[in-house]
Amino acid sequence: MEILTVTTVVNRSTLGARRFRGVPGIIAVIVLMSLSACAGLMPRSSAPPSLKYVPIVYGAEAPVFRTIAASMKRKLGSAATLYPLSRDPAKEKQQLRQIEARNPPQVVAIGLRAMRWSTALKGRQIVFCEILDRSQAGLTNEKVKGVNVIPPPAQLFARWRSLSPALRKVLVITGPGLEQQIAAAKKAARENGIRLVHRVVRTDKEYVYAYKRAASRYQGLWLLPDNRVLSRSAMLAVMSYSVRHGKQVAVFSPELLSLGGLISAQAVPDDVADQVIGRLRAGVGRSDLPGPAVAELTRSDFRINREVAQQLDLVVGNGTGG
Amino acid sequence: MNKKSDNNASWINRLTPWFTNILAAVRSKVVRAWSRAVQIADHLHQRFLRPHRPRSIVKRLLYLQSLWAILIYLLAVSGIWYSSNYLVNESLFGRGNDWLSKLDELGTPIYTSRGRKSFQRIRRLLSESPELAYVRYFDAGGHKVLAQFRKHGKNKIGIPPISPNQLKRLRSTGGTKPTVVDDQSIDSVYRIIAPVWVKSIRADGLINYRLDAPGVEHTRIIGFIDVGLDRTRYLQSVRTALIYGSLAIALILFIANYFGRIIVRRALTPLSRLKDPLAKLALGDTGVEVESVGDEEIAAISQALNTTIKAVRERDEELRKIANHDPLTGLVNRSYFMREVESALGALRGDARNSALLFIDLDQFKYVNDTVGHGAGDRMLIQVAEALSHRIREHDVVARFGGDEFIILARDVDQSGAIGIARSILKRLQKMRFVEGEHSFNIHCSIGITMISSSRYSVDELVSQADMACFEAKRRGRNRYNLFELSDHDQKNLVADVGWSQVIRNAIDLDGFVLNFQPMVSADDDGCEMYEVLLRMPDPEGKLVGPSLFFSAAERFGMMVEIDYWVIEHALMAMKEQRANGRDICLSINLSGHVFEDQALGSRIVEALEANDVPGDRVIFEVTEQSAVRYMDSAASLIRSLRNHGCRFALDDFGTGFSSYGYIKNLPIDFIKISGEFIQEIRSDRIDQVMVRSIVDVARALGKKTIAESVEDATTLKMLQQMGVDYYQGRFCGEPVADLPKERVPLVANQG
Repeated sequence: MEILTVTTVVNRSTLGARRFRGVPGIIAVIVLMSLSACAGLMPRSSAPPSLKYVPIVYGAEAPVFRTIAASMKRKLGSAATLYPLSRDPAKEKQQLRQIEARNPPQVVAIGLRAMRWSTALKGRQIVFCEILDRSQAGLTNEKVKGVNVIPPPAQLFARWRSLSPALRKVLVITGPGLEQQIAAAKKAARENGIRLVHRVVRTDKEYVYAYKRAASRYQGLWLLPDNRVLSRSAMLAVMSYSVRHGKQVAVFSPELLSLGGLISAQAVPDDVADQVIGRLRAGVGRSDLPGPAVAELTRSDFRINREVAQQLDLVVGNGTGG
Repeated sequence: MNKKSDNNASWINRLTPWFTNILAAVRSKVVRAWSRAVQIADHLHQRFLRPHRPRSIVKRLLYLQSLWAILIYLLAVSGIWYSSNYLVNESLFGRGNDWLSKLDELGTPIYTSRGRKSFQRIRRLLSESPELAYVRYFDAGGHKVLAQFRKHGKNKIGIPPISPNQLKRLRSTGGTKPTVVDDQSIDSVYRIIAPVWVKSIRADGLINYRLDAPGVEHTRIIGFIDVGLDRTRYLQSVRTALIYGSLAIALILFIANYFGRIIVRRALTPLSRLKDPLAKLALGDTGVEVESVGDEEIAAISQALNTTIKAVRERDEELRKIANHDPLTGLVNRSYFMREVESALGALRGDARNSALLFIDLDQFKYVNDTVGHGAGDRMLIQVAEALSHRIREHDVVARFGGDEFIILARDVDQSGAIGIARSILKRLQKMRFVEGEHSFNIHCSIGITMISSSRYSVDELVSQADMACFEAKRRGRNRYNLFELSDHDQKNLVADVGWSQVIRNAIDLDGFVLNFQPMVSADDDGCEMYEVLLRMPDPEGKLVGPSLFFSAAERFGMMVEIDYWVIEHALMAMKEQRANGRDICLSINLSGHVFEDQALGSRIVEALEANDVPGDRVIFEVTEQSAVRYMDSAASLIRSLRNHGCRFALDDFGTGFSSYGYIKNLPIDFIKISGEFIQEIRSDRIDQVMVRSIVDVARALGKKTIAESVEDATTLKMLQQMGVDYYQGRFCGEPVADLPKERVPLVANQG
């Protein structure tokens, strides 16, 4: 399988200019003003507040955790202290005591396990990342906020559309409770000329059933990583069905390209680190963390399955690769 | 895959013992039935087709071949049946799993919030499948039926719920979805049950997702699917396969068996060819020749058989020659000759011409024997036999009939022709001279002729006629022939002889003889109490007569040996009876000379002694001097043999024959019985006195006892006592009596 790797970086102002090309100027101005109101998300022109001691806790479940932690360490320098979680409860407790002893105002938790561990540090700002199901991490509040795992849907749809100009109708199936995120995604899709249709299922079985019955009406499937309704067999069934029926599938992991996925979009660790650091800085000197519960990423790492693209009569040009 | 394999294994484990039992039962029944059938067939075969004959190896092989064909057929049909069932169950299992997979997906709405209405849509799909008997969806508990489908016509099937045990097995979540096959609870339905699973990936399982990452999923059972497949459709296929398969195998086996039978028959043809020659050989036909062809083994057998047959044939011919010929002269013997005469008589009934019997008796042969000895007499007989053989025509028969008696059957002659033959024989013998050492003898003979012109007379009667004619020729002066002419007297004699022969035959067959016992007392009156056994026979009028009246007829008709045996057996039986009553006696039994011709005499006497529990030393056998001399070798051999068993021998009528002391010396006898001729006139005849004294002296010198016969008075007895005779027999000592005396007979002279 030949995979084309593309990382897309979107400058928000540039993105805004591109997005609203042809839109009446007044609306563009209003939108730009609205976006500028999201101060927490925008880089400040003044010197960023300094971070003195930020413990970065992460597990060893996924290599990407370590990559993100390393990126943050690189960016924060001595202010960052890495705490790779040990499998030994005694050591974990010792690590916890070490952190508490230094009384840090902010903690970074990379991954679900680190998040669960970090909740023991009461009264501190916790910035998490690499957590798909926030309900598993505990309710977000003003002191607990995070960074999205999924790269910006807009970039995905833009990239997908450039690859497959005829793409018009895409199905996304998830478990319940993601209406807000899906609404944003729908909007991003619509901005790229794609109609994103959402189906809610409760089980992997229902996922497959729903997809097989609905697939004929859609050109593609956006396989969102919802662990509640996905199983290995369900993904295999969906991917197999898609290949057999010539459906384009955007997947969340390059691993699934081998099953017939057309394009995969995953977060860029540096981008994740940047967004986490941004949230940390925004919270310096405050009791709470400003901004949305989950900050969006700005960059995406795309990979395209050339073989599948060929089978689907899609042209993967240089430009497409960005 | 593992679960499927487990299911297969459990299915095979369930089926194997059952199938093994079926096979064992079938095999047992088949073997018993076949064994019984073979027994019946064998019985019928032996009873009706080949009574008392062993079975043919060809048939046995063909039976075995047929048996194998049947066994192979049964095994093949069983194999087809087993394979078909196995394939059907495999197919059912595969189809069941396919349906489970399909139904698992189709039934998804049943387990969603959208409810069970959607099941109505798939009901139509299910109803179009003929192999589905029913489908049931259960809840996660496995008890509540959420939706079900039953094929039309299967509504009456009583479908059992999922048992707790089945639920337990179905809830065991492993790598593969478990299934439970239940093909026992519902007839004609193959039931297969599987759980309905849902899975979800661990909360952080999709971060850096890898397809082969272990342990990232959770499995949950949300229900069960119970599918019943209509087995009857498959069983119908099995039956059809079984019928066509078994017919095809039967046809193949029939053809193979048919050609196998041909091959077996051809292979065993060389062996079968041996059957007829061997059957003929078994019937005594040694003229058969076994064809020495075929395989190496058969050829070897054939060659061996031919060699054996040849040896048997040569021995047979030798035995036949011995049986039919006189060992001394090489001429045919009496029995063979009689058969030839019988055949000549039979030929008269056709268009054959008359024949003649010529009875030849050498004149003065006894003189030759007495003069130059027995061996010379034998040589003379051989010379005469050769002369007669040269004289007769090719189709005539010459036989030695007795000691110096010859008889010729001249075929196709009339009376003048027969007379011509007699004359030529007389002439030929007259020209012959027998030279033995310094002695030279003329050979003369008397010839009696009788014509065989009708079947009016029997062979015995014809021989008697020739014998009588010969006797008449001798009476007229010897060295002549005499043609039998039936006078009244001759007729009477002939009738008398024939009549005696019938009486004797009856006496032998019906135990008509009577034994009398005459005491032989001893001078010192100690030792064993002795009696001579005397034979008596009732004549046609019932009066007991002595052997002098019927022995000639018995000899003529060849019944002397039988009479001897009769006397021996009944005398020993009488002794047994006496011994049972506590009396220990000795019996002296007379043997005729003819008995020495019987090779079995010695063994038969020993058997009779043992049968009657009589010690050999209580029996004395009396042989005449003439018999002993005539059969010197065989007599001496027999005497020695029986003496080893304790028997004793007496030389009877000593003095009347050759009276050679050399015979006494050479014969291993115990007693010398002095002829009555020397005793009857001993009171007045000095020669008799000298003779008796001489015999006693010689006997004493040889260690033998003497017995004097015909002791008629006390004077004679006293003289004999003075001469040293050991035993005395005669009317004076004791009359012959039918019943043995209960006490020892005393010696009267001693008492007086």
